[in-house]
Amino acid sequence: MKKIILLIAFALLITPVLALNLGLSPSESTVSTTVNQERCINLSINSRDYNGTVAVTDRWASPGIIKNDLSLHNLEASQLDLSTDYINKFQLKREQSLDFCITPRNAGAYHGLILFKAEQENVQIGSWLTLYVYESNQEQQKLLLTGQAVSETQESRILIGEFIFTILLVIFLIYLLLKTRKKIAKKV
Amino acid sequence: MKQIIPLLLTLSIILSAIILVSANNTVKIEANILSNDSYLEIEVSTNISFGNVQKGQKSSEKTIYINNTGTEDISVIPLLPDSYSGAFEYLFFREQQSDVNGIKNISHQIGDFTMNVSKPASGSTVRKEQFYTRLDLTNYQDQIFGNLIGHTTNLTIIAVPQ
Repeated sequence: MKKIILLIAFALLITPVLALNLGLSPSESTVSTTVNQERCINLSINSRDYNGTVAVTDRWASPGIIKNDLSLHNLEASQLDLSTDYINKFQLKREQSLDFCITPRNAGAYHGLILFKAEQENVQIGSWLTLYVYESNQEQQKLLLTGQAVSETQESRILIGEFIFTILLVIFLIYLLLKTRKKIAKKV
Repeated sequence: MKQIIPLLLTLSIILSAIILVSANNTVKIEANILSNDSYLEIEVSTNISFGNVQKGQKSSEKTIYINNTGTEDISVIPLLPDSYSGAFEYLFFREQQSDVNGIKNISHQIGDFTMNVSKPASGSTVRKEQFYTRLDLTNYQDQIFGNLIGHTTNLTIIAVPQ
């Protein structure tokens, strides 16, 4: 009996003490807007055991890079002419929701990370944000209807692909035409 | 038998009435609210103490526990404050203490280490993982003027979705 008690006590001793629980939703968002048009997303953070200050920051990758890789996100929003508006510090009491608003000054595809740091415990969790910015509503509608992405490189790739396909089609038609002519000539 | 049935019925009506009255017109409601929302949630151990570490030597290895209790695969990255410079720049991390392929047991200096933690298996609410850290001052060159007792900094554990 003593052995069992000792074993249980030992197991309790070696059980890791997990000091902090932190949750965030959504973990990822994709939104689109137009130049100079503010766009907001709502994020919700919660913790079962942390009552303290949470600091909010954001960091961005170079325009056109859409990849969930923290090491690529070293830029501040201002460096990309992105104007952000959000509460950068608040007291967390179990659950808190936050509006993260952003106004872009230039068209393009942007990828950012919104980070929430439990300041007293030094644990930070992040939510990825992909932002597509169009020159105008018309362009946005056109690209959304055709299913094309906003990135200029991708758009130009599609155009090049279409051009090559058209040339190949014309060559094939000429070939068919010549072949048919030869057949007709033989018959005659 | 015929007399017992009406008796039981009367008794049950009285009991029901008593229960309804004592419930003070409130009804307890209960439901299991199920969700398929995606969210990020972690549990992290937040204190590490290496004890005495002599310049030119290594500390013992400590374990950092990470529980992924969310719905996403995550990457976990330990980072020092931007402004920090000192002995803790020689913190090294590895995923496993032994690995048959000899990859996950290689130590990486802070800043170069990322660990991926999968989401909990279906039917489970938690994925428990751990990684290991040690303070390796074998290549620490800076002059230390006197013992730094209780030298401390804030190591931040960052978790982002993969």
